[in-house]
Amino acid sequence: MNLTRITAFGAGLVVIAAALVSTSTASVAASTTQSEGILCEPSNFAAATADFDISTSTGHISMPDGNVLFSWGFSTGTHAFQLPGPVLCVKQGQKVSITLTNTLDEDTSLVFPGQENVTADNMPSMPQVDGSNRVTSLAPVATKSGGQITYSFTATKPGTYLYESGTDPVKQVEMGLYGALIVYPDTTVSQDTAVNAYGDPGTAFQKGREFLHIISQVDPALHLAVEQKKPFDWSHYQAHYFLINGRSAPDSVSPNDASWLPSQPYGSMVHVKEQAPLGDTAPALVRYINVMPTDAAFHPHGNTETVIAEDGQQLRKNGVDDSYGSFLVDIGANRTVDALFSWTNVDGYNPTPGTDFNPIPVQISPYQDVLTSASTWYSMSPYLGHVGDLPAGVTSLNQCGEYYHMAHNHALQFATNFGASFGGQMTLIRIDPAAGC
Amino acid sequence: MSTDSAGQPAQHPRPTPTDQGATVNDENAASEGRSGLISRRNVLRAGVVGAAGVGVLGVASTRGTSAIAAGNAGFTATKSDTVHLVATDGWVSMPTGADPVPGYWPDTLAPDPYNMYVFGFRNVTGMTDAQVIAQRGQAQISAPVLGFDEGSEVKITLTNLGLSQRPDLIDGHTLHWHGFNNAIPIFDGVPEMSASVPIGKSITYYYRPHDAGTYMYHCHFEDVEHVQMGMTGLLFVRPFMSTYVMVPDATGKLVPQRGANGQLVRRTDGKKFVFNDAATAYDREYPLFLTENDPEDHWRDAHIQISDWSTYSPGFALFNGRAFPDTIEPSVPGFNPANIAYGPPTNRQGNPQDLGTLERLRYQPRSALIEAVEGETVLLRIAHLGSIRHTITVDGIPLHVIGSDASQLKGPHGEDTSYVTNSVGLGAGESRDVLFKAPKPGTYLIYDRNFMNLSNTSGSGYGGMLTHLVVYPTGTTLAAGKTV
Repeated sequence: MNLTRITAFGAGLVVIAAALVSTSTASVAASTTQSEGILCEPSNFAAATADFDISTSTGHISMPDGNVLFSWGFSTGTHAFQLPGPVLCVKQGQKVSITLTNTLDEDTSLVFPGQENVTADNMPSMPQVDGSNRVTSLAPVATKSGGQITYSFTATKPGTYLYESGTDPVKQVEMGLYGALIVYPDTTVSQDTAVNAYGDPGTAFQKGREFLHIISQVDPALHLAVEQKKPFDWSHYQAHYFLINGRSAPDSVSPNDASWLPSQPYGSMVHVKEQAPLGDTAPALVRYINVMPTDAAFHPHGNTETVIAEDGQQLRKNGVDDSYGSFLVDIGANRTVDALFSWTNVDGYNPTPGTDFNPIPVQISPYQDVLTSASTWYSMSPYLGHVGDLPAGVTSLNQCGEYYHMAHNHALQFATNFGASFGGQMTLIRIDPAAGC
Repeated sequence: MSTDSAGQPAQHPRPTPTDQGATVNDENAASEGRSGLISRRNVLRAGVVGAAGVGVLGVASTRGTSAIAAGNAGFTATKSDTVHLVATDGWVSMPTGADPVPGYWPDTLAPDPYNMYVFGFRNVTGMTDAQVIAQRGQAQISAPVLGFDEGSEVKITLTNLGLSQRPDLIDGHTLHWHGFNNAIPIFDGVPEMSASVPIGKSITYYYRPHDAGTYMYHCHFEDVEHVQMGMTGLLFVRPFMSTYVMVPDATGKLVPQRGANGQLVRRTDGKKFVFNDAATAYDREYPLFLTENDPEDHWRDAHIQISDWSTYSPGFALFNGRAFPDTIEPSVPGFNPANIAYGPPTNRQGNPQDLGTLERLRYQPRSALIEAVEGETVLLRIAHLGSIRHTITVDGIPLHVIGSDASQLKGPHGEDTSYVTNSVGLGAGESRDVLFKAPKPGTYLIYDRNFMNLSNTSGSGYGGMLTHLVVYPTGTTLAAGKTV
């Protein structure tokens, strides 16, 4: 540890403290603002066609260490600029029509990996080549400075997909031109009532417990060069910020639409109740999308996840369920993975004398004998739903004795903010007692 | 004499190895009194087991869609394991023939014959307080391999001895059992979610392992630094089937059989399994623990400089804390200081035991040499706590991957999803259980097929993640302690 890191860490925690306060005060309006989980662009699952008007835009994103980075993004106008692009939610069988308006001073386009029969202005969308057979774009473009093009396809299969720039994608995707596309099974009435990812009993999840992790990275030098319209030497490319849903930890656990992150509207904290008759009775669904050029080795603490789908394809063939348990969810470059998470109080620890009395059988060190971070998610009690005494000078980020576990990229250089630990591609898993908080 | 719930002596007998333990893998077991030592932990275990009596084994499925458990269904540990680890710093030796990294490696501060600064753990189970404190500055990489039994209760005490080379640092340390199912935060070891151990103090972590398989553990305090500096090791859980006779319960799930007196029936054939499935039997097992290190980062920590950890660029790729050719050197005897069979605890200042040419590897005690007899089924427990992807390859020998991240490769309805390959890929933080049949006698290579990782600091093609599999003719008895 060194002073620089202490300072950066402390600053991050102040932001988090504010975030949690805001979460609780905003919870009254949760039904309209939806502070957690997937925040879809408004769309109507009953309509035959889901129409989206998307523009490129530029703006700035903030990092927890105070750095502010120029970035590109997609926007529907809900935000003048946002990272990542709007989450597009549609129903299986719907026709999807996306009109892209290009405000950048270079051509751009959209590709939809995993979708079939995509058209661009009613012609098949396919890679573009110049006179010498050089691929200039993976899809027909919206030309620079105002060009427009409409991509259409029918969302035939449920699943987790992405959309991203198909033009100079090494640069344009890194600059922020990516977003999530989620196709719900055809039985789904609306996103907020969805309970199944692929329409199969093995892909059921608890209503409202659906989360998105879009994993990306940023080289601040590239973003500065683009902002200043200067050339960039790609042989010196070095990412220093590592994002989930456009945010770097600990901003990742701030609520959706946090006012202090005006261009980064999507939080990523996974929030469940313990599995119990009065708690959650189905797992949570985490939809992972990796837009980095390298694999993401994502490690949820707390429990093994069950991987149920990859690239929008349920892991099931010939009627055989091929899902598998994994404490390390490995998301390949430009791939998607769906996984289920739940937490059960298997050992039934209970400090209250009575029929369920079952104390942890080792001495829990008193707080005087351990280190507690200056701001802590720990309730100071090892038991779910219990709160212990807070040491003097320590700020609690805990509400009711709920548990928090970490979830992060285990290539730990990706779990940093410009090298400072407890940052980057890291978020939290919150586990509430069955009775709630 | 106290008894465990199976009515057997508390001195928990393990399946007898066919050859005097050439494949014993867990360093905590080595301290368990094989040598007849009456240790504090045996006394503790006697107390715990004596109070436990006969009960119902708390077995729970942990798949994401599993049924809701009815809490602690009268859990009775079949066994108690108590381990004492210390966290501290120290010096190790990367292969001396490697090209220097100018300015960074070999580290000029390193005492001879070492050349790289590390943080790490050390197993001090059974040692006196004075012996424990004497381990300050004597960290090892990889951390001691820990093996526990399903259904047992595990107590791991972690003591923070501080850093001898960096007295300016007040870092805490923790123990994170990577992959433990349904973990509770206080025993998960993330400082911001629970607590960490300050210098001079201890925390006892408590676990009831319900799921067999290959895991790992590491410090989670300032994780990117402490993991890179070496506070990482392999951990595994043996299934009930390796100890008890198994029978199907009402749902068809295999559970330990109970005798007429209600006590668990031990198996007597000495067979070992990876999971509670007869198809996962093996004869001999080895840990293969994958990490890499960046010599510049290690130099900066020793020299009170700041690293930008986001620019990680490893110079050495390691099996069991060693780079080739050190991987095929023997294990260092006495690397578990509590095992008095190998003599009293050792240190480089007052060393009662001359390690000769192995002195360089005193703090990288575990060999990565794999030895087997033709026809044997060998289990490789591969775990990866480095930061870049590795693809472990053995040419010409089919590798049967039966476990992944401590989950048997089996669908929710028993579908066999295991697969055969000769390249086992692992991302950072993943584990694989791999079986292979030892082929005809000879020496085979086990290596990372990424050529970048087959060198030490430079692209020479000599070094890194490469070790030997040596197969002996049928009928050979491997010498005791030859490989571990």
